[in-house]
Amino acid sequence: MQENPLLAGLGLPREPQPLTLVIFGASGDLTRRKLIPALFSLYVKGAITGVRIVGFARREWDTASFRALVRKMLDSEDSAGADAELKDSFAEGVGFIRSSFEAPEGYAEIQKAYPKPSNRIFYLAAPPDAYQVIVERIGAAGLADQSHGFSRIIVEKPLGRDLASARALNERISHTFPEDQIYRIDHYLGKETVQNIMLMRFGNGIFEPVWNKRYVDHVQITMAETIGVGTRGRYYESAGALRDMMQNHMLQLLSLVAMEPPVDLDPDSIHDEKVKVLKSIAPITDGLVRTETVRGQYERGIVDGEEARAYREEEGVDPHSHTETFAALRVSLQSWRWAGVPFLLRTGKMLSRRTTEISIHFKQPPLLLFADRDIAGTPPNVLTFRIQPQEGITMGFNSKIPGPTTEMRTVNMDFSYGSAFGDDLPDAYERLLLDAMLGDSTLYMRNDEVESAWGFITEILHGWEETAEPSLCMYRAGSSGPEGAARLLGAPERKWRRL
Amino acid sequence: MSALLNPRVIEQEIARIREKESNPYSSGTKTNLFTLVIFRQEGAVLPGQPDPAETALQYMLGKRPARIITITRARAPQTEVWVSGRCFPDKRNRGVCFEEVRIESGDDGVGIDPGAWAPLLIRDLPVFAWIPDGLGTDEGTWEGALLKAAGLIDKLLVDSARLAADDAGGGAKSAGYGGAKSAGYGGALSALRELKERTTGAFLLSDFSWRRSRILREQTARAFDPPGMRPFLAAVQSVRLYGGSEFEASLFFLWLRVRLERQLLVEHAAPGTLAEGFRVTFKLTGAPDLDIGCTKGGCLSRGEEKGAYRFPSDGEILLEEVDTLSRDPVFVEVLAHAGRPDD
Repeated sequence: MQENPLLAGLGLPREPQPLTLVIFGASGDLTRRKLIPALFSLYVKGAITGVRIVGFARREWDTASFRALVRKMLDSEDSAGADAELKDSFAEGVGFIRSSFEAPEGYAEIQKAYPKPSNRIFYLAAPPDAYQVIVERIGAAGLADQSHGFSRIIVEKPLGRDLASARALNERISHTFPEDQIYRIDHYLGKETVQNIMLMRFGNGIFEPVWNKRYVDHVQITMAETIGVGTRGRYYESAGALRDMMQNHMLQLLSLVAMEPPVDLDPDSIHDEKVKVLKSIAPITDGLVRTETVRGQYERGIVDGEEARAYREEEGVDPHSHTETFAALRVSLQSWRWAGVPFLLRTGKMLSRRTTEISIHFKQPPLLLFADRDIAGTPPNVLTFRIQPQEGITMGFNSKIPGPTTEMRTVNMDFSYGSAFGDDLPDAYERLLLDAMLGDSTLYMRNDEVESAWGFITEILHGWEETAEPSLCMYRAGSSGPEGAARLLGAPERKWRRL
Repeated sequence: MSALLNPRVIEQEIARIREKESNPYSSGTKTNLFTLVIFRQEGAVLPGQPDPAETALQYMLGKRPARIITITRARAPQTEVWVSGRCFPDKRNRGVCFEEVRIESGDDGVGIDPGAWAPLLIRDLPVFAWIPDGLGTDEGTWEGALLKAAGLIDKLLVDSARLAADDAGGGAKSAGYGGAKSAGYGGALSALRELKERTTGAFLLSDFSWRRSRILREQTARAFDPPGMRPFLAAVQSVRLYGGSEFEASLFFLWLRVRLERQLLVEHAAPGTLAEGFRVTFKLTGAPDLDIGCTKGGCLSRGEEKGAYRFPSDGEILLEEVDTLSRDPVFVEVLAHAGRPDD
């Protein structure tokens, strides 16, 4: 195709083609809390002028009542400061189809009531057990056909509950949508700080030379929550921390930290490198679950100054439940770069502090000239990516304490997004929705990424089931998790980072 | 040097004011992102008239924390200095503050000398210099100060319209280009090109008029971007612009000449301001004319609606400029052609 020389240097913002976005499960929490505020933010920025939003749900609403509801959603905290006229005009632009997910008429209505724009994106914000029927009905109605415009589908987690079910789900979806039309969302990948992992690693000269087993002692990835299961008790009983957080968010973070530089920024090039990491994880089979994993469950305690009940007392939870609300793993990567470097992953609910971070713990210098004490007394250098809250990066290093001494103390070099840049960070969904509209799948998960992650997690689930090991460690709500997690560290000088 | 310009005393005063101003904010204040040095001309704004530079600064207040040093050439025997601060809360109730140092340089010339204000620049953060009123007249021009301070400044923000006004003796040139002419058209931008040449690329250079005219470039690039339209780039015979100032028109026509690598017949038919809207007609060989344009009601290209028309205020342009420290290679290339005989 002939080049357009007038585009040079303009850096035009990426604008999606006109499209119809159909949200299945428009009455749900995800739509209210995330999708509508993110779409509104894009609308305010003028990024989605040609996008028609259509809610699809079985509730007894019509377009007018859905518009009123959308308008109400925009009075939430995130959009509170926005112009009321903009909110009105955004809400006036949305449409609604009342239908069950099973009824073919609802899908025919999409074509009939919203023939234009003919480019379409279907967002599955519905319960996972409805995915299959929705995808089948979309296919049967001919809405996945791309002869008059593109057709894409965005799928929310959970993408299965083990390897077999993930494969089955993939097969069902790919029966209707080819892989390049499927966008599997993990909202963590849309966070600025997560995107910055790759930019920081490959956009600076100082990190890559030390980003390997010669200089890195171990890596910790922590995803701690102060909340319990809330109203999700019934779902959580069948999921647990390993499925709910480890299989998706944490293994995605692991792959970004450990991946090799991609050959270019093509989505497939990046996905290829991430898959290599996931495939290089040494399986934790039956015989290893006892030594390489820890699982726990919270008991009563105090969190954020308030009394918290035990998991087994939560609504929808079996009083004798053995579901883990905390999981920690010691992961080994079988690659030249990372052989012998443990990746320590932990996630849990009802912990003392809400934090998500990745910390790279470097090895000690070979000779501690200035320490009149043993190695354990001198903290190693730690580079920490704070994903949330207080997004930023901290480098800890040792510095001389002033005075006639050679004693050292750890000090921090700190970069905080909140202080270093003028604007607030955009919500992850905003970026991800725009990318899907533009056809950029870089920040979405490819089929083989999901299946590789499930392959690893399924082995652990199997081991837990078969051996009943390790036993469930109880921990007080508001603590740092079960003390037993310390055994994964593998060396006395290593410590879990304080929550 | 005047004791009043003692950097240590000024820093102490800034620290004192900052602490006092930041008190109301529960989440503290954001750290500075850059220093902005504003070179101003006394009397540039008539009493009672709004000050466009101050309006632009106010737009930035609460959005970017910064140290603002304003140096004014004043008609007074001695240099005087004032220190103040302004804070505004962001969404998270963090104070976003301006630390302000106002230097009124008198006949002693002390305030203009970089030695007086260079110690007040925040080290290791970008330094932007902004000349909102033009370079000045023969009685006093900022160019000498800029040349002396070249190593201290990362980026200079000017408005080619204001620089040309200086050349014309203080009043803006009338934008009078009637009739068609070939694209030998950048004379009005010579002042900017010459300034760039004299400062020998010591700092990055940005032009508010270039930024304002971006809408013309964007709409044109988009109009010719569909694959079916690209072959017509070679068929453009002449271009007629309705609206926009002389400088914006010059930059637009020069840009076309540089990007298409050939002379075009151009005409600036109805000068005005881009904020009010514009229309561009491209006469094509062997095809109907192509019309693009924007009004307050929105933008149109080939008869199709292309969204709302958002024209940036000077405050928005200032905000964009202090957020980036990168060179715009197209602007550099366009400027290099300004006022050249072959143009």
